[in-house]
Amino acid sequence: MIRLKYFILLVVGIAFIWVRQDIAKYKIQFAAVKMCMDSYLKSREEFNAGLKESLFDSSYVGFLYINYIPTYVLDVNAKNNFCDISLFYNHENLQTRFYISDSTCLFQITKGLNYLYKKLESRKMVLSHIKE
Amino acid sequence: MSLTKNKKQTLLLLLILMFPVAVFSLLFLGAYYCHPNIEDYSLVLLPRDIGIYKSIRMMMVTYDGRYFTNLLHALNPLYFNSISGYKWMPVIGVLFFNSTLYLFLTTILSAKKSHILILASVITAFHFAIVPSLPHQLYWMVSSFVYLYTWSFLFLFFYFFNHYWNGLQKNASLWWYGLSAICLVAVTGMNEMFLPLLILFLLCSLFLSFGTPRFKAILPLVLIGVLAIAFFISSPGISGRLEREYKGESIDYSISIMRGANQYFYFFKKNLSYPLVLFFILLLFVFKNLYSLQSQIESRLSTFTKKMFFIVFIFILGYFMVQPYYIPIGHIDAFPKRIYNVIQVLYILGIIIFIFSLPKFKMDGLENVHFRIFVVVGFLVFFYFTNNNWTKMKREFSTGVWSAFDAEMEARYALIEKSKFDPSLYKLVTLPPLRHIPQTIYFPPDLTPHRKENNWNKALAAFFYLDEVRLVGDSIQNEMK
Repeated sequence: MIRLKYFILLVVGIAFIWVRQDIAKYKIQFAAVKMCMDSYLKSREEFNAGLKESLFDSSYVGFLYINYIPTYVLDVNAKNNFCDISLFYNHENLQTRFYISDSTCLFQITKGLNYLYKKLESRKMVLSHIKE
Repeated sequence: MSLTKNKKQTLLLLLILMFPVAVFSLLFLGAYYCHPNIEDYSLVLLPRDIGIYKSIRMMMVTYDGRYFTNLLHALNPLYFNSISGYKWMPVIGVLFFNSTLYLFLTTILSAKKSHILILASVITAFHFAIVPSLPHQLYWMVSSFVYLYTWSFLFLFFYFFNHYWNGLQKNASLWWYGLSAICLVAVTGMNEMFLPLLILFLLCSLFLSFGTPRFKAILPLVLIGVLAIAFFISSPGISGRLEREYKGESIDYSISIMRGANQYFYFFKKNLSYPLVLFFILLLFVFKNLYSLQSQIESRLSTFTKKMFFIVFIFILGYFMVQPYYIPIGHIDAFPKRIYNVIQVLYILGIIIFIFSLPKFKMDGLENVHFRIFVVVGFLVFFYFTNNNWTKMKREFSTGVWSAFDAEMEARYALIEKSKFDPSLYKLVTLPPLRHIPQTIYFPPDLTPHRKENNWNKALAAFFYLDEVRLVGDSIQNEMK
């Protein structure tokens, strides 16, 4: 009986470690999105250095990273702390807009990207139905 | 005409039951009028749209370590887009708390089961009647997962653990072990405030079993707890969230601790001076002869010094439970009331254990049914006339605030429903602002004027499969596109 209890402990331990590893992996993917946004901010530094602007005023065309692969063209336009992200797929232009601040920037952008990605999937399904 | 003793006992029982019946009735009525707020939508949206596991993982990377709370975001009616089902959640919350508290009380008290059930119902009603923030505890679903359900799962854990501890030689011990482990993993992943309590409990169980045959059986359960705690606190979302909270400021932790202590003392003083609390304590004294502690607990509180030490210990434990909240965000001046919802339950349990640990009275007066009726009636009168959540709810209901709020929410749903028949590709819905917000059954966030916090607009739009949601009079609407 005692051995069985320790076996359960082992199973729980392996499950926790596996999930923790997966989280670490996902954190890297998340960092890839962050990298995308960092380069967006960097582009602001490089190209808009002379402009008097609020923190996020800029525009950027980059890629949405999914599993390290730049998958979809991403257009980010930010003005007065409102960020518009457009994601292009076929002839579709999926958009989302949200308010960003220093504290919520990354979280909101990730949420925005996830939202777009979900939307993209559903639009893809709609398109496939139309083709049929 | 004088009543027989049996009839007086029945009258006493009916009078006592009036309290939980009155509180539960109004709580359930409140459930009928309650509605999700936008944070409910935004947190349920994630598991619904990106999958349960992915949403938990995302929350752990970006926001917090509450893995089980995040799982609960997928185990509720809103996950299935049912707003009418959402209204059942407060009912489930009250009944789940009441029944798990009953199970917990059976492990610490020795009394008739019917008496324990009545006590559990009275405590539940009392807790909801005076809890500092009722919406956080009950009507705001995702908040109740953190502040209310954690207690319920903890009660379940104590109940299963008690069976495991006392029945190690029996064949069923594996079941109690498994159930204890599940509840322990669940509680650990719900609210960081409970970590000091869990750590202390696990250390005590190790200490008490050390050198006995129990040790080998308790150790794997403790290690499961250690793993769960390590998993929780190593979550990358916690550090990320703290970084966002700090905003680059350097925090003086001594100030955080002092502020925490200050507010903690204030809460303690305010709660003890509350008239209904004093009457509740009197009520417990009057009925204390019906209950006694289980012998294993009684023996640990045998002397007066130990009893006093226990009360001081509960007070200090409460302080340590609020610290995981205060220390990380100690630079904030105004702390939310909701964290004291948790501490209040701890105090109520501490008071009950303390009072029931006192020797049985031999005074005739306290056994006298007339005296008991007098105290219960006094309690009910105080309850009816003093300011508490029940009287606030009654006021809001009778003045029509609840129904007005319900009508406003229903009007919003109707507009959203209408948009489904809108042939345009870009689905935009403009919603009216809420003019009647009941304090007892609803708590913001809601849509803010001029999209000051536009993420809530996005969350509401995403939940209802819309492209955009605006509030009437949104001054930036023309800037879109």
